[in-house]
Amino acid sequence: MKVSIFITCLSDTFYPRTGIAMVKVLEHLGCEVDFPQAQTCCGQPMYNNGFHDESRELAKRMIQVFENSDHVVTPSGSCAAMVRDYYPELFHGDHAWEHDARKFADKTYEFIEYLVKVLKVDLTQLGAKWKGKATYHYSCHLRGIGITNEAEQIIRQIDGLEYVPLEKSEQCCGFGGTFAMKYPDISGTMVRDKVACIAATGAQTVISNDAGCTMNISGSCRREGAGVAFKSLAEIIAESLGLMERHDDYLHPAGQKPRTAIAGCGPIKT
Amino acid sequence: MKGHLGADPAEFIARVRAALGRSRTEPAPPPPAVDETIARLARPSDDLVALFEKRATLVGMKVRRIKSADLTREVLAVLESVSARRVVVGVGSLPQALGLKESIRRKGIEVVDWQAAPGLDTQYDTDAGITDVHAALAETGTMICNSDAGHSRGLSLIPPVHIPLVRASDILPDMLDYWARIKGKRGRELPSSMAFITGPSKTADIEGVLITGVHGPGAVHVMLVEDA
Amino acid sequence: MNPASLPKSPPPEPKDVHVLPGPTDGSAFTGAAMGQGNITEIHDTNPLDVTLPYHMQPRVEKATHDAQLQQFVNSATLSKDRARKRICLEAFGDNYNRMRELGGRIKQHTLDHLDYYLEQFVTNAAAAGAKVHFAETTDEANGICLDIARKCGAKLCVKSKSMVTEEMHLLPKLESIGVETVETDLGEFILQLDKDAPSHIVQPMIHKDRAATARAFTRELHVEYTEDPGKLCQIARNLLRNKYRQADMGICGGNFLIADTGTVVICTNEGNGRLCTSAPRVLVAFVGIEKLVPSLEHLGVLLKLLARSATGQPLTVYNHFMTGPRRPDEHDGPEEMHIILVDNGRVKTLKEETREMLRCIRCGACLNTCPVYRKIGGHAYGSVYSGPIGAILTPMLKGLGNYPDLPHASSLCGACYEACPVKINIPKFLIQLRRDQIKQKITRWPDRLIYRVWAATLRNSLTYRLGGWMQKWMFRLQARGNGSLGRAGSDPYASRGWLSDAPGPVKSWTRERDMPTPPARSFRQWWDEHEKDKKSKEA
Repeated sequence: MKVSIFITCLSDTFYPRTGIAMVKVLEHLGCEVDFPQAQTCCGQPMYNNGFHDESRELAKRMIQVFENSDHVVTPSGSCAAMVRDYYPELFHGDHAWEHDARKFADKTYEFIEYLVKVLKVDLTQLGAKWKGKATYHYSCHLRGIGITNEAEQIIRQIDGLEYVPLEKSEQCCGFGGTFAMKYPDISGTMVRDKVACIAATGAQTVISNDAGCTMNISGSCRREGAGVAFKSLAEIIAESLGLMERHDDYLHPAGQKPRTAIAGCGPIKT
Repeated sequence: MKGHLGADPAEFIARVRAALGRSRTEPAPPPPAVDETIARLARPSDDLVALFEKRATLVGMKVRRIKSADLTREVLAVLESVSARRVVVGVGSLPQALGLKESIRRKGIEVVDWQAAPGLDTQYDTDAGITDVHAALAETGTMICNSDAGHSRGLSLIPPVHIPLVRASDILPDMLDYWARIKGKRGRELPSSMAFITGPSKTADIEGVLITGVHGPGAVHVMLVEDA
Repeated sequence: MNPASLPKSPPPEPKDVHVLPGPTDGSAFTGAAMGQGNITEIHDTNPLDVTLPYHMQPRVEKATHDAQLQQFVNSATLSKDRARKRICLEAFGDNYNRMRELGGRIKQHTLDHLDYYLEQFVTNAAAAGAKVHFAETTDEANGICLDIARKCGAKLCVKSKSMVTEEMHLLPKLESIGVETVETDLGEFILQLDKDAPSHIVQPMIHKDRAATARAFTRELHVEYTEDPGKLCQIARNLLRNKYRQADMGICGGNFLIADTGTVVICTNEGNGRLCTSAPRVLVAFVGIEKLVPSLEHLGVLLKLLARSATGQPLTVYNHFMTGPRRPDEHDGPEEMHIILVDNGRVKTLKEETREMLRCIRCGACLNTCPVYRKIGGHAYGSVYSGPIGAILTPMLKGLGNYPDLPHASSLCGACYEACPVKINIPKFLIQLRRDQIKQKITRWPDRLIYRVWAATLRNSLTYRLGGWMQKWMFRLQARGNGSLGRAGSDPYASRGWLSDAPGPVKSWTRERDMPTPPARSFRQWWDEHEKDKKSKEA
C-alpha cells in the first residue's frame, strides 16, 4: 500500500514525534510511505477565520502536491476534516477545481481512521504491549469525519495499558485555533474543565491525537500543576510495538494533582 | 384579506417571494415523504395496552387497568383518595361512563355543571376533572382531548386532578396514525382546540427540580378500560 | 407588573431560612452547591437591551469568573444534553441521524416554498375564523397587538413563553397603555419579578437559583420566605390562577404553524400555555414566519424530535393545537383569535445562502451541548437567542455589524451541528459570517492584513520553513531564558521548553495556560535522515 503522509504545520514543528511514530507504524504495517516535501498548510486557519480566497490558494497547492498520491494520511482530525468537509465546498461551482477537490477529499484519511477502516489493524495480533494507566482525549474534528470510538477500540487492544475513559469526553478542550487567543477567558475555562476531568481519571498518560488540542491541554496541565504526560495515538502504538523508544515527558512529578479547579469544572454526576 | 392590521399581506408575501428568488408563487412540489421506517415508533402489532401503560407511567401518570364493569367503583376510589368534594365531568356519550355522574353524586360529591355558563369560571374551584379521550397514543403514553360542545378545554387542565377514561379501543400505536385519521380536515373541520397530554403538568425551572402541578393538574389517574 | 395589584400578604417574617429535603427526582444539585453568587438580582433595564454594536467581552469576563453561574449552567446543560442523547438513541436507535435528516428536509422544503405555505396558512386560518396579521418590524408587531388590546378594552393580559415577543420587548408597551401583563411560565414569571431576562431558549432562568427565587417572591409578592421549590410553585400557581380568571387577553407564541389546516401549535410543560390560550376572551399568537410546516403529518416528525432534543422527554406534556377561535356550540375558549406573523429580519435571512438557519425549532439542544455556552451562559450573547444558534441567528436578524463578536465566540467544535434535530450546519454558518465580516470590512484592517501575510508565507515551502524555523528559535530562546528548556542531549524531537508570559500574539494564550516550544528538531529534519537511512540500506 502506498501512503503519502500529510504532516500538519503544528505536528511538523511542535510534535515531530507524532509524525515519526506514524511513519514507523505505517511502515511496520507494510505501507510504502512517502512525504511530499512541498506540502505546507491545508489553509484551515484562514478558512475558519473567513479568509476563503487565501484558503483556496492553499487548498489548490495541497491538491497539486498530493495529485499523484493514492492515499493521504494525516495525524490530525481537524486538518482531515478541513480537506474532507470544506475543500469541496471551497470549490463549489468551480468546475476546474471541484472535481479535484472531491477526489482529494475522498483519498484523505485521519490516521486512526486509516488504521481502522483501511488497514483494519488488530493490535492484539501484533503483540502490542504498553504498561501504564492512560486516558484518551477525543478531538472534536473527528466528529466531522464520522469517527466516534475507533481510537478507544485500538487503545483497548494494547496489552498492559489500563484505559480510563474521560468524562465529558465529547466536550471541546477550548483550543479552536485562533479562538484560544481571541477568547482566552472562555478557552481557559474550557481547558481547565478538561484538566479537571483528566485529573479525575487518575491516569498519568493522556493520549491526544490533535496537535492543537495537545498544545492547549498540556499547556493548561502544566499551568495547573497536573503531573501527566501527553502522547499521540501514533506514539503509543509505536511504543507498544517496540518501534520507538518509550518517552514519558511528565509535566510535573507523575501523579501530581492540579490546583483546585473553579466551580463547574470537572466531572459532575448528574 | 380584510380586517388585517399591520403590513399588507400581499406585499409581505411578495417580499418573501423576492427573497426566495421568485416573481410569482408556484404550488410547492410534494413535501418530503414521512418515511415510516424512520419516524414510526409503535406499530399495530405491538401490545398497545401494555405499551401505553408503560409509557404513560414513565412520564408520571398513574394507570389503572380495569374492566368496564368496575369503572364507576375505580373512579370513586380515586376521588375518595384525593378527597374530592367538587368535580367536573365531560364524557360525551361514552357508554361505559353513563351513570357515572349519578354515582358520584350519590357519594355526596358535587358534580359541577360547567355547561351552565360560558367560560371556565365554574371550574377553578373543583378538585378533579373526569373526561373521556378522543384517542390515545401508545408510542408516548399520550391522551388526546379535543374541545367541543360536550368537552370544555378546562376539564383536563384546571382541576388539580385529571381522571381520563381511556378505552383499549381508543389507543392508536403512533402519532402518525392519528394524523392519518384526521387527514384532509382543515380550518373549522378540526376542533378549535386539540390537546395532546403526556403526563401531569411539570416544571423544572427552579434549579432543575421537577415539580408537578404548577399550572395544570399535578396528578393524572388514567382509567384504562381493557374490555372496551 | 405592578406589585400593588398582587394579593397582599403579611410583611415578611424575620428570615428563617431552612434548607429543605433535596429534589424528589435527584436531578438537581443540592443546597451545598449554592453560594452567594455575584449575579445581579434586580436589573434597572432588561439585560438583553444592549447598546449596539454589542461587544461581548465584558460579560464574558464576568461570566467566566462567576463560579455560581458556571455551576448552574454547567450542571443543567450537561444533564439535559445527556438526557437528549439517551432518549434519542432509545427512540430512534440507528435511525437517529436519518430522523434529523428528515426533520431538516421537512423544514427546508417549507422554507424553500414559504410564499406558497404562507398563503395556504392564511387561507386556512381565516377559514377557521382566525384573523391573520403580518408585521415587518417589532414596532409593527407591537402596534398590532396594542390595537387589539385597545379595541377589546383589555386591562389584564396573561402571557405564555414566547421567544418572538422577547425579541420585541412587548411588555413595557402593553404596560404603557395600561394593560397589566403577567408572564405565566414559572421561569419567566420569576424573571419578570426580578426585571431579569431569559438566558436560555427552553430553561429561561437557568442562571438563577431557588434562593434568588425566594428573595424575589418575598420582596415582590410579600410572601413568607421559603426556598422549597414545591412551595414556590404553589405560591405562583395560586397567584396566577386568579390572573387567568380575570384576564381579558391572552398572548402566546407558536412552536409551529400548520399550513394545510391553519393551526397554531404550542408546546408547553406547565399548562400555562393552555390556560393563556383558553381562558381569556381574546387570544393573540405571535409567530415567526419560519415556523410553518406543510401538514400535521410533517409536524409529527418534528414533534417527535422537539421534546426529546430539548429536555429529554418523549413529548412535551401539553401540545396544544389551536385552529380558530371557539366554535358557536362551545362553552369556552377565546372568542377572537389573532395571529401575528412576524418578519423582524427573517425575510432577509430567507435568501438562499442563509435560509437553512431558519429551520431552527428552538429546542435549545445546541445550547445544552455547547462548551462555550456552558462557560458563559446566555446573557453574554447580548440577545434573546443565545448559544450556537444565537451566534448565527442574531447577526442575521439584527445586523452583522451590530453583533461583530458572536460569530467568533465558538471553537467550531461541531457539537451543535451534531445535536441539532434539523441538522443546521451551525459551524459552517459561523465561518460564513466571519467571511461576510471580511467582505463588509467589519473585520478591522490589521486583522485582515495579518491573515493575508500569514497565508502568503504558507504558499511557498521555503517561506513556510523559514517561518517555522523563526518561530522555533524565538520560542526556544525565551524558554532558555526562563530555564525551562529541555536538557541538551535528550531526544531532539521531544525536548521542549515552556513559556508562561509570552509577548505579542501569544500573550493572550499564556494568560490562561503555558505555551510549549517546539523541540530542537522538526519532523522534516527527521524525514531527511530517514530517507538517507533508507537509501543507504537499499544501497
